[in-house]
Amino acid sequence: MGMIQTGKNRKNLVFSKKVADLKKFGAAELVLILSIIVLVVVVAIPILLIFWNAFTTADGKFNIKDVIWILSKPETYQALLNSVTIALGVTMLSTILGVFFAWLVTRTDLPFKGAMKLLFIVPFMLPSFIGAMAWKILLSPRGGYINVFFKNLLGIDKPLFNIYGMAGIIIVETMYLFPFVFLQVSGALERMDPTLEESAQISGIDLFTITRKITFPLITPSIIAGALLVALYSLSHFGVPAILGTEVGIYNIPTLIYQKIYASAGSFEAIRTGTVLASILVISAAIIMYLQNLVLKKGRYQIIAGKSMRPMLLKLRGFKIPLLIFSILYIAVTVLLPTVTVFLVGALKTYGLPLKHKHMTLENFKYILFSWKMTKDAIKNSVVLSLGAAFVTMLVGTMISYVIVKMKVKGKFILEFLGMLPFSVPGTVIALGVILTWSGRFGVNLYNTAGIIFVAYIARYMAFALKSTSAALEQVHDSLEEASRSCGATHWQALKHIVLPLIKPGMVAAFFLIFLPALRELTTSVLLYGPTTRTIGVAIYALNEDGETVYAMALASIALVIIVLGEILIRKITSTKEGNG
Amino acid sequence: MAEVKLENISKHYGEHRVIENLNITVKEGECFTFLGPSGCGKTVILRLIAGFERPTNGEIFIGSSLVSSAEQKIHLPPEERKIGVVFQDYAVWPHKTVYENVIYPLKIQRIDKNEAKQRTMQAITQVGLKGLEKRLPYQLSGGQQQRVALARALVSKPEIMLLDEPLNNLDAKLREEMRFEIKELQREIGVTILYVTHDQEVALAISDRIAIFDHTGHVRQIGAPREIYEKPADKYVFNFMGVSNFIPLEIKNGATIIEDSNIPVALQPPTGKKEALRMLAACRPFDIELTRENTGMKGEVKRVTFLGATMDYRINLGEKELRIQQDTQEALQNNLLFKEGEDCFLKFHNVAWFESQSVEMGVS
Repeated sequence: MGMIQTGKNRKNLVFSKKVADLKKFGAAELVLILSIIVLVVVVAIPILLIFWNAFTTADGKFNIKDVIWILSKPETYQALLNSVTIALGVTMLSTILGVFFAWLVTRTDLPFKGAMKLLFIVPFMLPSFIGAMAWKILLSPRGGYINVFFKNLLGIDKPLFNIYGMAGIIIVETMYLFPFVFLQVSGALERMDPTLEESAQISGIDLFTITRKITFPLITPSIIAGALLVALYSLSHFGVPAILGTEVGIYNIPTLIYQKIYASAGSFEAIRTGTVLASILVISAAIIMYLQNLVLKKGRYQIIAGKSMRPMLLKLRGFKIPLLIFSILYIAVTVLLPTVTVFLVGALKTYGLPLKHKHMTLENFKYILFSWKMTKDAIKNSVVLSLGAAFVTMLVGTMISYVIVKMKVKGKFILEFLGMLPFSVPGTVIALGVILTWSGRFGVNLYNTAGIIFVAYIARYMAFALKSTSAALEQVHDSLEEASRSCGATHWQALKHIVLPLIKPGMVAAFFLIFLPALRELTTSVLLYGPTTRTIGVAIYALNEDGETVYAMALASIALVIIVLGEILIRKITSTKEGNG
Repeated sequence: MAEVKLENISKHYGEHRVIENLNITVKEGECFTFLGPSGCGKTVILRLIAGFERPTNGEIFIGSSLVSSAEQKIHLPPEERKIGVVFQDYAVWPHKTVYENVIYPLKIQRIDKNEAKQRTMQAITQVGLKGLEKRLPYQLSGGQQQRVALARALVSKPEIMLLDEPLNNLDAKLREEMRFEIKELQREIGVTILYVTHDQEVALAISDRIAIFDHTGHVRQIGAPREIYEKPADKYVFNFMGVSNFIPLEIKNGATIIEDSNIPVALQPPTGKKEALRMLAACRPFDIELTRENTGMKGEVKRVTFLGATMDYRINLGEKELRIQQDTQEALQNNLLFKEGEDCFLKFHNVAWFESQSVEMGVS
């Protein structure tokens, strides 16, 4: 026992006081400092270096002239404009689609609503750059399967569709991003207190007016939140514009950064242009995040009510079956068609052959999985990097969340501020930031190694870990931990016996939330890979660029299988968790 | 068993001064209650004693040991204070069974396995949960979860038990049962109990002594339950201990009248306080008798509520409203049931007198 005798034993008291002082400097402060260091090194320094590079000259003087000069160059100006145009287009289309489908599955008597709701989330599983490649195969003006089909059918010379260009990019991105809006809005519609609408109905107002005057304003915050999420994602998205734009000379910010860095092999001017563009991304992302927080905070108190709601359902009557068919067709066209294309083309003996059984072979998959070193390495790299990054990020994220949510330490506000950063840093920015940070500037050179991708993944997915683990920790009431302390457990014991077992589901969720997207990551990896450190995403992208379409699709098929298996696994884990609770 | 001593304890959260210069000594083996309205800082005191918070000023002793001292920067962590805590929300660990919850403190203390098992079963039996050892908390009712928390706090035979509104979430019947059991356990084991509640009934029932806090965190009175009930230190304490009538009085030309009116009252202030011109008479609803014989104090029945064993009246005395209760059975026998609108006469028993600074009269 470390109790302190009073009066009787002065020496003992002085000694124990020292022990107590030492203890005061123990766990809490240590963990806080460690958490701050991690976030500073992984996130803050890369971002600061980007700004530093963008706004100073080589000898460290503040420099706005170059920034303006870079921005006024037609190519950067055009890329900025393209990014904004694409983001606006995608956001608008996604919002319309997301709100419509959300309303359809929550507020109408559409048949098979439960299944339809799941189907509308499926587009999330298909990596958008793979989707873009599939659409290119189907709709490219030269040799696109659908175009060829119509040429033969109608006997025309010119292709019917052209997927290249702004319209194609916007449409394809929308296909795979609208679930952001769908999820937000269907969630809000489900949680909305039906009495709000019922009381209007009792007052004799018709359903259309109710929807317009009551339902719609109530879900507006959710719509805006979902739309901002789409905008944030689209603004800094690399895959789709790289595949459908680069070929016809259309660049957005991320693809321009990629092109600059690779075309000029990392010259000072290329890095300068990259950092200026990246700075714009960071600032716009921060603004979007800020707006979203503002909107969500306002919206939270308006609609949320208890459970077991029976909202009024609009009877679709004659539109019931047509709308069902439309929904199923939408999913079939946007998800099933590209997926099937990926698998079929991946199985072709040679690209360009008609999609017939006699031209199919399993040899491509075998070759990619077992024989070709490049693809084998890519799969291995992706799996190892994703597993490692998911594991480390989950653990570090748990630690940081613990400090933010549970601990009372001086200086916590620093961590709270730093903890916000990962949420507003796009993948391209992270890639550029880690290049600046880990290329020997601070004595560590990870350039062209797997290590640089690893630190980039940690930075990129830290937000996911923080979100998931802090939500789990917030549900563990402080008194549970305190009860353990009062039973004689030390802080560490209380963590081990009580807190960790209780937040384990949140940690597992965080792991998969990082592992699955990291497995198919392209935006960040494509700026960081070296000769031996391709990831699955990079390999697919490179194969496609090199014209090895068949192998690209074969590898994409394998990636899709892994992703789907992973999604099924995570659903199993999270649903058993809910079953126990 | 151990004494708990708080010396000049203050706790501030930034500008907010929750507790200021608190001095309390809880004797060995005593059941001591911190009674006060919510937000008065009584839970903070428990948390300071348990070691979850550090005092801004002052010292805390458990037994002869100094466990917290702001001046000497001493803070013994909670796990070394040998205390059992029962939390307001039970804090029963949802991933552990009843048995695992209760045996936990013994496991932490590395008690011999057989002994631990035997003591755990004893504690579970003691709180009446035998047969439910293998249940998980979500399979238990609120009352049962509360007992798990109690057994868990008891099992390590702590010197001090801290209970934070442990009966709050129980229904009335279970609350009565549990408060009896806590008292029994204390007698049996002889542990020092520090109990926090805002419920004066529970406090009166289980405490050896009670400290009454006002909403600013100051102690108004410390004493045994009867002492506090019968000799409240001030108006606040009187008011807190039950439904109260306060009548502001004024002495004018030797006669006692209701303040700012000319209604005479047949009440004599105690001799020592005769000099004061303004006084406050306080009494409980049962301490005013309704009668038909002229006592000189005429009231009008404004509202009557039948509550079963008691009748509840709102009576207008001049412009003031009084709350009066009578035993239904007795009133029936003596033909003293009054109707709304009827006139009645009042007779006062057991009046407490307080200094008055123009206190609003009425029912609280």
